[in-house]
Amino acid sequence: MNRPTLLRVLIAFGSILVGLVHLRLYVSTYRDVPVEHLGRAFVLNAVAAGVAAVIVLTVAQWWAVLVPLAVANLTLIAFGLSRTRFGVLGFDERGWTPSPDAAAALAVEFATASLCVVALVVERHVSLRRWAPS
Amino acid sequence: MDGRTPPPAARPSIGTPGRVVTSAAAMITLAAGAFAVGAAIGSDGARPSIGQPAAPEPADAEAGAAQGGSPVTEVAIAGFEFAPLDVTLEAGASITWTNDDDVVHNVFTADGRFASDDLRFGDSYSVTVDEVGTIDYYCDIHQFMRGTITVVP
Repeated sequence: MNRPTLLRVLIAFGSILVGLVHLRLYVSTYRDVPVEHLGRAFVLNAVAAGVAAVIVLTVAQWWAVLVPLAVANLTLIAFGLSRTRFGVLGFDERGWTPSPDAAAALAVEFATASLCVVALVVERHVSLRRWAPS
Repeated sequence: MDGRTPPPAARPSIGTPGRVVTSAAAMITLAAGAFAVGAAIGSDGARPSIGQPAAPEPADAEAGAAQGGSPVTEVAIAGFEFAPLDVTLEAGASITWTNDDDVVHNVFTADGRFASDDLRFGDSYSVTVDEVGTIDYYCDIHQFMRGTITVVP
């Protein structure tokens, strides 16, 4: 089995960090919130981020990069929604709290999503060059 | 072609991500990031939009934590709860809430009797209660957090 590219390793690392931050937020803060499904959503995010990391490392197809990209972007959107009056699952939050976890989560999510975009661009470039007529 | 095969360095991805997919991924990522940062900045220190008291706070309701020897009751805000949940005070007594959570909370009454600023970890808010009766209050950010003050003569 060939090894994955460095970019994919970084994406997997970022995705695992996303999951760990949400697991920490669940344990330290949000498991106390009496809002149905909110705590489970944090755990689900951590599981999804872990699965995304495994997929991007083990599946060679280009679309595998879309999995951590989707997890990171959906998490960013959920973060944003939680800071609006709409909330997430009926729960809303203010600003950058809990601090510093909220800001750290956002930074890791955006960095992971950005790495996925870079990976798509690089893999497209490499693939086109490989099949270009000489 | 010289017949030599290059060593398998990094595994090439299979297939080619299309231009549309790549561009869409970039745009969605930028939009999601901007939305998240904008929402966080916009909500930081924002006053509540629902249940905000229309009337200004009564000037005599605000007080320091310690005032003229009146009994002071402490209420902790911890684990998304007011503790104790129900408090009984004599008229003229003070009550102080302290946020022990690492998320922002506040203290509101629907009738506008009092309304705190956003309380970060370690912040306190005090009022003196003068009118006999029952005061229902809540955190306007997390409206499932509710408590009651019963003021007796």
